[in-house]
Amino acid sequence: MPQRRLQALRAPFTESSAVRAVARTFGKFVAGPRMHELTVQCDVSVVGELAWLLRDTGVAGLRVVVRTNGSVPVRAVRDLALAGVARLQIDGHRELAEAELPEWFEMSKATVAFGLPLRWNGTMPPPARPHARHLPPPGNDEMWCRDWKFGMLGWRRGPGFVEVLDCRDGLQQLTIVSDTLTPLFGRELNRPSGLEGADAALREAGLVAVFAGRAVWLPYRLRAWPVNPL
Amino acid sequence: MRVSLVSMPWQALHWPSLALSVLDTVLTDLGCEVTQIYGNLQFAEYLAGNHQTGGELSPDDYHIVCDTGFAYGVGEWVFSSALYEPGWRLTRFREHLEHKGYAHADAAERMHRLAPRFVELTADRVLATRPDLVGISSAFEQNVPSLALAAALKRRRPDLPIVMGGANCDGPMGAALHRNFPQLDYVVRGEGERPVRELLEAFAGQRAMADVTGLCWRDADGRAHENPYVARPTPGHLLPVAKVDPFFEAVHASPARPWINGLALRLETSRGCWWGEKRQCTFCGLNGGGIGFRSKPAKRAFDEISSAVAKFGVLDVMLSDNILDPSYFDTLLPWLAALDWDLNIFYEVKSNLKPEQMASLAAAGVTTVQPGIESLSSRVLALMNKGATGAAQVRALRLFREHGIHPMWNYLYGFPGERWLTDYAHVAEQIPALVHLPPPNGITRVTLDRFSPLFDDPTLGVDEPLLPAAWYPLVYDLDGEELLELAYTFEYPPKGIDDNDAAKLAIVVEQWRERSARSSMTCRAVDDVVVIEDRRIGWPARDHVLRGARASAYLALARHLTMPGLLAVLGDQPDLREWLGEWKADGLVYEDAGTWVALAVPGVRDAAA
Repeated sequence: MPQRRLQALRAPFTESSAVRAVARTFGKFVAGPRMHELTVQCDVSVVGELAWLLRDTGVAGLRVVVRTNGSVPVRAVRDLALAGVARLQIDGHRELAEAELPEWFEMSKATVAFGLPLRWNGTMPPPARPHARHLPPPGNDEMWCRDWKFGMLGWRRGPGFVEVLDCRDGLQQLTIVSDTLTPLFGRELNRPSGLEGADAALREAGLVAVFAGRAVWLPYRLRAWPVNPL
Repeated sequence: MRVSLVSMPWQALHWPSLALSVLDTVLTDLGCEVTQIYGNLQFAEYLAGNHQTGGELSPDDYHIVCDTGFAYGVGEWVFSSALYEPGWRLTRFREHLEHKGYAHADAAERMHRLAPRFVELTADRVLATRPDLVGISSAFEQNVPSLALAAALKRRRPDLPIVMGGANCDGPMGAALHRNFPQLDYVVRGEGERPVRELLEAFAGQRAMADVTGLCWRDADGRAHENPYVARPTPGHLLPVAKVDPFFEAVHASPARPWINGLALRLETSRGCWWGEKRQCTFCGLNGGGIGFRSKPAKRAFDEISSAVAKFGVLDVMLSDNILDPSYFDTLLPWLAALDWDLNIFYEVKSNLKPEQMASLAAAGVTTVQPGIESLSSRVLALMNKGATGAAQVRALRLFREHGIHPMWNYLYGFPGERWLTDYAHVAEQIPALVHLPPPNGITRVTLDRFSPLFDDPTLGVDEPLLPAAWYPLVYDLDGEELLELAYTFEYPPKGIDDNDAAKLAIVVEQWRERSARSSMTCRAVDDVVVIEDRRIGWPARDHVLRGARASAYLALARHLTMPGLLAVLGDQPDLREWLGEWKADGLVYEDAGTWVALAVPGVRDAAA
């Protein structure tokens, strides 16, 4: 068999042992239950480092699920997605407190933006629920799961502006000068700000919400098409 | 000179007219004062006014005609009330729509009643710009609305010169329009840049009308003349920058704006078709006389797209090109990707793209393509001169799914020489295995269009006398000979598979469409194992595990290969035929004309998640 040609076919794939070694370093490592599936269970404090290493190794064709116990930073979500991780799972039944909502929202937005499935169970404080229906739903909330579709509230970057597509209640398309947003929420609009970010018009439009004295830009970045949530 | 350029219904409402945008630049450069008039937008506003005063029409009805009316001549007939008289051949046209199963005939008739008044209002608007010359662009269903407007203008100002151009005027169609409609003083055939410049020179006495490229004109005695039709395509580096400002100003101020979601830029980076220069697809008449491929220098194309996006704050870009310039993979596309803007670009492409080219498209924001898939049978693809095999087209669908690009395509049938048993039965049998891949919009019997090889060359199988499509005689008050010259789409005795066989194909394609959103089949290579996770609707949910040489064989089929090709990769493999048979039974591969291709999409996430 012409080994060189077969190796060329496999070129994008690293050896799975490297991935297993990374997983072993950071937490409890469970094989399966699906064929060539690997579940890495680790504390949220080390997810960032795990994600960084996985991004380097790739997943070598393994179906890697990362389970952790809290809100994962946005950068780690991005690295897990780029590594090819199959799913991020937050363990336990999360009774989310208002103080942790800004980080939770940012994590949830990032998972949608980068196409990383997020699985979780739990509840959100009632005042926050209306602001979250475009984000990945908890598995225990049937109505939220039923109504959720990709692209319900997203933003797109343009030169000097941000375009918002809001399909939560019929389609609305808004263009906002990005100079007014990036100083508050960062270039990727994924950094909670102080109350100065709680612009009344943006809150009125349902694009910004305030949790525990911090303002969160609600839309996630739309990186996949077509978007047709209506 | 003041020039008013007009685009009548049924130009789409979401983007500028490329014809008006480009000619504005040409004429402005020649020193003219140009006004663009979006008659299409104004008709939508007219319908919005009807809606607001309790009428049953709205701009949504405009969209319906745009989306569904062309095949039946609906848009043209709506304005026949303005060109001829209200109720023009009403009974016969309604019968025609009923025969075709068209569902919006009542709305069409209501619009037909409104059209004469609208045309008069539009003529007032045009004359309010005090033009010295009016140019009307006509493509698809814009002929009758444009002719009606020209007639209304002539009634008011007989001395006002009126020029018509556009795709509907290419070749003999333009001459027929000019011969039969005296409200048209001039008809420009072919691309407009050169003849428009020459026409202005003729107005200035610097050139004879007889020397204007491809022009149809009248002499002082009113006799029609037809200059020789010579295709003189504009070179790529001279393709004008589209001036789209007037459209955005008009649409943002329009009362119809609430009915127009998702504005887009309409730009061009090339004209012609480099594939068609070599082997024109037998059904394609899109390029008229200008099939020679020409593209803008990449830097210019990049500057035009990026500056238009910045200026108008619009991230959706519809490129009119008939085929993407392959050199842009190394230039324009990576430059667009580097901007880190969330563009949503439409391009027509050739389907035989390499994986790295697919990745390049996706990175640049090319989210939707028209790749000319057309069929999944090699023999039918050969009949249409497509230069692709069935397995290669399936591979393209798999790569589009892998890279998150949406391919728009129709399954075409009805080619002379095709047969159900040899060309469709095996495709229909295997379509249930494709339900995780992007489905066609539907199946369509191929139309016979002017300028296509099927139209021009009877030896390709359509050798009967031609008839214009059924709606032409219901719309135009012209005899058969003239209609033959004016028409773009023609009727012919159905070729290839019959309607019963087509219905069988339609059933499996419809099933494909229903199942695609909820189906996935992914594969991943782990060390020497390939795991295929099959979650397609209609198949048992199961994981296939291929090891060793079987895994290598499946990986090799990421490319479409014949048995000898596969053996060249794998070396001697006595069980190969048996494996392929098993995989075909499990729907893991597609086979056509002895060529095989893997169907599972590389990835670790469920595509349908």
